[in-house]
Amino acid sequence: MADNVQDIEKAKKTAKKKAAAAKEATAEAAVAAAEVAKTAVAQQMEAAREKFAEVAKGAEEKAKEVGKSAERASAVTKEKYAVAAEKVRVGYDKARKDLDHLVEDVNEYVQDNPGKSVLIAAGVGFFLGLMMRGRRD
Amino acid sequence: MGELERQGSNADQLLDELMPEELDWQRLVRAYPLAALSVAAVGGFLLGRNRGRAIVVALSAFAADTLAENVNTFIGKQVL
Repeated sequence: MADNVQDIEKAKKTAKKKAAAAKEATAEAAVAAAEVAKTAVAQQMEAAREKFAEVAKGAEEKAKEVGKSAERASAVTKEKYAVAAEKVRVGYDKARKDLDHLVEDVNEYVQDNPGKSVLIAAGVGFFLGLMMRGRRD
Repeated sequence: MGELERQGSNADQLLDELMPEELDWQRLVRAYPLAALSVAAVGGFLLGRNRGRAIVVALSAFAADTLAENVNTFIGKQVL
């Protein structure tokens, strides 16, 4: 009887030891799994970070290219504007000189022929008035 | 005296007759040429617009009358 009790106690102790060992093994396995998962997540994060850095670098280069293109376009536009402004200025100066010469010539002619000039101006006005009246009628 | 000068003096005489005697229009025209031409053109325009046809008819009649008179004088007989 006493032997049986000792055997049972011994078996209990053995079972307890095995249970503790199993628990410890399970915990170690869980820790290892968590470590593996953590490592995998860290690797994925690192890969994503690298990918993001790559995309950001590409975008920066594109932005630089666009900026350079804009600068070139701006320079070309400024140059064309300067050329057009110069042409307009030259044309304006020429037109003004021509007008000055014309006014000068008219003044000179009127000084020399006052009566004839006045009659020509009145005749031109008369003709225009007659034409406009004709159109109105 | 050239043809142009004669025309110029005719125009001056015509304007002398049309303008009041106390008005020295030649001096004014020489002093303000562009303004004088503008005034003349505007005056002519208004005259043409308001009395244009009557003036043209009168001038045509005068020209026809003068021509007929010259032709009659040249031929020496009243044909027109």
